[in-house]
Amino acid sequence: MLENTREIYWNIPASSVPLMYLMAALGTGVMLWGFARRLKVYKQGRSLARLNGLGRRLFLGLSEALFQGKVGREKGIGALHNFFFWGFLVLFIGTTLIFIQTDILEPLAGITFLKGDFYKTFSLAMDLGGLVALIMMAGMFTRRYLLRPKGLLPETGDGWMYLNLFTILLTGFLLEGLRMAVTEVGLNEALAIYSPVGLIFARWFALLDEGTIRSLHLGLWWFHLVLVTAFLAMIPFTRLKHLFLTPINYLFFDDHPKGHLVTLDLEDESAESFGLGKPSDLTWKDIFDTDACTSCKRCQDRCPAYNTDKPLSPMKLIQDMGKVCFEMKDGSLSEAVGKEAIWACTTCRACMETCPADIEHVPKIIGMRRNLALMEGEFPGDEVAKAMDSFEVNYNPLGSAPAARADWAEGLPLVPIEEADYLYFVGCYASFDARNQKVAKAFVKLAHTAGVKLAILGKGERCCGEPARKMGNEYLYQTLAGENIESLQKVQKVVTTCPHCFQTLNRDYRDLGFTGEVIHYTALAEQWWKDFRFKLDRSPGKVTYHDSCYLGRYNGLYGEPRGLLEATGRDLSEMTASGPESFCCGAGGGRILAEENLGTRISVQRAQMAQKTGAEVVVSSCPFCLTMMEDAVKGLDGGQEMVAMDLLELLAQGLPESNLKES
Amino acid sequence: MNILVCIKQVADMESRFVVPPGGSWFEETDLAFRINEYDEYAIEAAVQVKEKLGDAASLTVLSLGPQRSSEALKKALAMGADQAIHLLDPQGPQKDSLQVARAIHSAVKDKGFELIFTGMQSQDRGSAQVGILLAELLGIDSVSTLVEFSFEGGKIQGERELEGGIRAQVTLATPALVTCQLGLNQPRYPTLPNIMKAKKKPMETLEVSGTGEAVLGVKEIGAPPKRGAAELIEGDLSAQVAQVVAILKDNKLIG
Amino acid sequence: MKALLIGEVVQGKLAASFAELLGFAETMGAETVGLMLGDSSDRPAFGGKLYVGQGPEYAPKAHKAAALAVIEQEQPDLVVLMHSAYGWDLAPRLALAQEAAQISEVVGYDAGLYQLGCCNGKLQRKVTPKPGLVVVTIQAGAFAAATAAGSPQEESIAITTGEGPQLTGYQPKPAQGVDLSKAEKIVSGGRGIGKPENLQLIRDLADALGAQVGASRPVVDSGWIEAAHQVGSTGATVTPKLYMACGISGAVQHLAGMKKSEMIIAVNKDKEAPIGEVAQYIVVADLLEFVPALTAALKG
Repeated sequence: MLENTREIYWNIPASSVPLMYLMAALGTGVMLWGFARRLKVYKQGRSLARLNGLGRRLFLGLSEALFQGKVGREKGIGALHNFFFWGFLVLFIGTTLIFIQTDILEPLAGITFLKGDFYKTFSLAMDLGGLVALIMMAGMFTRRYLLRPKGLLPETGDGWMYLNLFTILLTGFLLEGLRMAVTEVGLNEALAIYSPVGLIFARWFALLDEGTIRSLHLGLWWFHLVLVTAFLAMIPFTRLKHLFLTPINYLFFDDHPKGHLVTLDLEDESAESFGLGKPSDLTWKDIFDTDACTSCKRCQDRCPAYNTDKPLSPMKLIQDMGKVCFEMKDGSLSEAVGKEAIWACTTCRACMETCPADIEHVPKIIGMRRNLALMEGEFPGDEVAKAMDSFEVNYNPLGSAPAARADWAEGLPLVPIEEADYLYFVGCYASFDARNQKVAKAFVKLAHTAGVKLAILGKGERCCGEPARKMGNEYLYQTLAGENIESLQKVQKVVTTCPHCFQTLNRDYRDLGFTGEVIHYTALAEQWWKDFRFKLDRSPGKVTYHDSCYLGRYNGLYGEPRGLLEATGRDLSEMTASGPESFCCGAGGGRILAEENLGTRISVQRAQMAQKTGAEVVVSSCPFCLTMMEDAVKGLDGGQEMVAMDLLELLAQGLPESNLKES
Repeated sequence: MNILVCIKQVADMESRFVVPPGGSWFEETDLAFRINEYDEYAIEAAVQVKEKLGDAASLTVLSLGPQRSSEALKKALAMGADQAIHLLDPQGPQKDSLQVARAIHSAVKDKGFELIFTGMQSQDRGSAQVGILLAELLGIDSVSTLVEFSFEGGKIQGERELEGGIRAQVTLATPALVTCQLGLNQPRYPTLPNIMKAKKKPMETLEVSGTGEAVLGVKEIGAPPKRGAAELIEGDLSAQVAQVVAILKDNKLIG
Repeated sequence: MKALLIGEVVQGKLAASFAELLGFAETMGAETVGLMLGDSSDRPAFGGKLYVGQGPEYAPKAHKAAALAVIEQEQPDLVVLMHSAYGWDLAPRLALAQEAAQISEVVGYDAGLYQLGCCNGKLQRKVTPKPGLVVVTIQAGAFAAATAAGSPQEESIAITTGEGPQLTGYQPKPAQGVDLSKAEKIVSGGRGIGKPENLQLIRDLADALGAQVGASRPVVDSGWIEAAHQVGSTGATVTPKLYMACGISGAVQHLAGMKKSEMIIAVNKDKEAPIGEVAQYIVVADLLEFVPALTAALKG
């Protein structure tokens, strides 16, 4: 009975083995040198603690790296990449096992384990791994070079990379086949079937005489070795660098709640500059991010600015920042990236949520805006500068009289703050904009019906500062925030109807010392509904729900509004881009203040998506979304007539009149 | 060169103005205040001259008004003025143009200002007097309502905006005062470092003096007639058209 | 009571507003003396004495000196100018030299009280001047142009030029499309116009009124009209004498840009539309019917 194993360095002269290791070392050396050079670039950046809670980071990072969850989310390429990765991983593990047996256990302890049934499994796994990797690579090759998806950019050495990897895998099988032609074909057929791919080649090679096979094998072995050396060496210089950078970046994730922005210390007298103006203003993590980008373009595919022909691609922005950093000079980031790109962002977070390399785009964009706003007094347009002035003078971006802030609430059943269950932080649009005042009134009606007592700050309320902050005006934001926090001092529970107020009070204000509980109405009303605190008359009708970025991607409130929609009796027809894949209305990131002068209108594109569902109403739960949708639905050509409403309006409509009288 | 820019802090025009019974000015409670819009152009023009002249120039910003006016001065300092003078006068908003001009005159007459900027008028009172009066009191040349301004070798070249948008080109020599019309330039948004620096710039607060007697007596102040909730014009089309034509005629909006 | 009316000459022409000065004098029941400085062969139609000084149209020192000489001669009770670039330049110089009370931007006069606009027309002040000579600048359009006819008795006076600021020429209004911020009348179209073709209805009405065409943001955003026509907080802020808002419901951004207009007439199917907060009148009608009907009436 033949033993089920193989001779590891079959046909390789013993003298060649050290040379093999020398070449491997050479390849690794070049690789390390390449990464060391990159390390120097990262080190230009400022310090940032991203290794706290290392155990958790390692666990989460490793899980992500091994299971490829983020990479796999994309249809098509996700599966191709993952199976390629897993195939490759099997080959890598197999090769490592060989190394362990041949160079460690066997010479030191005389232990061999690549034998018997384990060897059979090993052999089959290696063959299948290689086969899967080859097929997946063919798929990826087809996508990149034949199908050529829009916006996919080449990187240096892409062609060489494909050639190298393909040839390594192919020569691997050929080598196996040559070896098997001599050692297994006709000798140990029972074992040979565990190398099915190799066996195909082996049967073919078996037609040759052994001498030819052996010299072919040796030559090919050397060629294979050269390819592997080249592979190692090219890693830091091609997109292959992501083999290391992406998993490492998984370790460095931001463990703040989503949407966290660094709260600048504006009183810092030693600070020469604020925001991100040049590479030395970045943190090492920012620079690392620019290097971790794999040009997969998933961010770009989802970017509302890019999709409406504006000069912003999150991918290109990150790469342009990287270019400045790799010049190792203090060049201007905003010049490299382009100011129009910086201002075009709606901070919708679609890029960050989708990025398989965990790159943090939005904080960088806000950082560059901060530099423009705080150091140059620059904004995307006069209308935004004017809004900044209105924030300062009137505490709202609309320029309305602060004394009129609570006019909408006249005669409504509100209570003094001390008696209230919740302080309703109304926000500027619901306070001053006639359309959104209806939403605020609907909320008060709903709360009243539910027997929940609401108070408002009234004239004392100021803009939460969100649009100013997202436009880079951290100074103005902190001023407004400080004043609001002062007014909210004795308040325990706050409810907002605006997701931007919600995010800002609930997350951003924490750095400034605000401790009250904050909830968005969708979550609160759903609770009321579950607690049977109000009844609804069900009305039919087909609606679609537009997820606000700050409710959904930032805060994960997807189910709550949908639950309430269902309670109204409406038939919900989802847009393709919904939930975490929702497409922004165009008003986030302070863009509500700005003219949309470049490209086509984001809101119209979104309204068209909504129209395609055949819905009569596009429902949202955000004053900015409602404002944008209101404008956009009017501009739709033909098709289904559609109106824009806030979820609260549907709820208030559905409240039975008797319900009201009872309360 | 000593440059002066005179500014006023005014209530935001979006405000809902409330006049107390028998009062001669509106109540300030709950109102938002800002730099008079015209004065923002004056500040910007002055800062541009100062920046051009470098260390050879010193820019003073002055405002007459109640305590709150110091906020306007701070913003002007953040925009680039070097020092501020606050002529503290709780009754400032109710003073006649002539009284204001006299008070400013007595505060600045010995300071040797060679170039003075003011807004064309204030948004609240709209008298368009103080700038020209100040120049006349100081005995220096002045031109009003500039929409173009340049300063070269002691010579001012400017364009006055006339009705219908025609512009009259004028020249004059310093010492001089110019009043600034909207659109003269693009007033800057102060940068954070400048806001921080402004906090340390000197601000001198002086009691107001030398105003003299008032020349106007305010007998009444209130909402102008005819403003209010919209009147609905309903009925059949021809009646509606006739009614609108009549309104246009009554208001001399058509011949 | 005697009023010295100071007319203004621009580019060789006497401004038509002289008739408004006469109208004001009529309101005051004052006898009138005229003064015009500058090279112009135009003469106002009125029966009083007219002092004419040939010379530059704008020369603050010379005009002040000439006017003071006439005041010395005539001893008027009132000196009246338009509240215009010319008036607000010259009036304070005369008032100070005469130690006279100056009243600016007068919009009305009743029973010894001068009415002044205040805070963008949101308030009105009623004032009395101290005794003696009063210098008045009147708001354009506030006083009806006098129908007085006749030809004045002309008297030439000298203008001593050479000192002070000099007028070196004129520059036509810079061409940059429309500038709504200075328009006297504006007819604006909003979403209610429905489709771009209907914008022609707005244009026709604007033509008939001698008005400029404005638009709300959605109309501009839809690309139906150039951005220069946009009225609102992100477009032009306008303060015309007449603003007709057709099919504009009154988004807060729009209101911010136009609510300071003197007369606002809205045309809207919805009488509850927020534009009603700032409009004096709401024509409750379909603009597609009303606007062409009004245009026809104005042309007829």
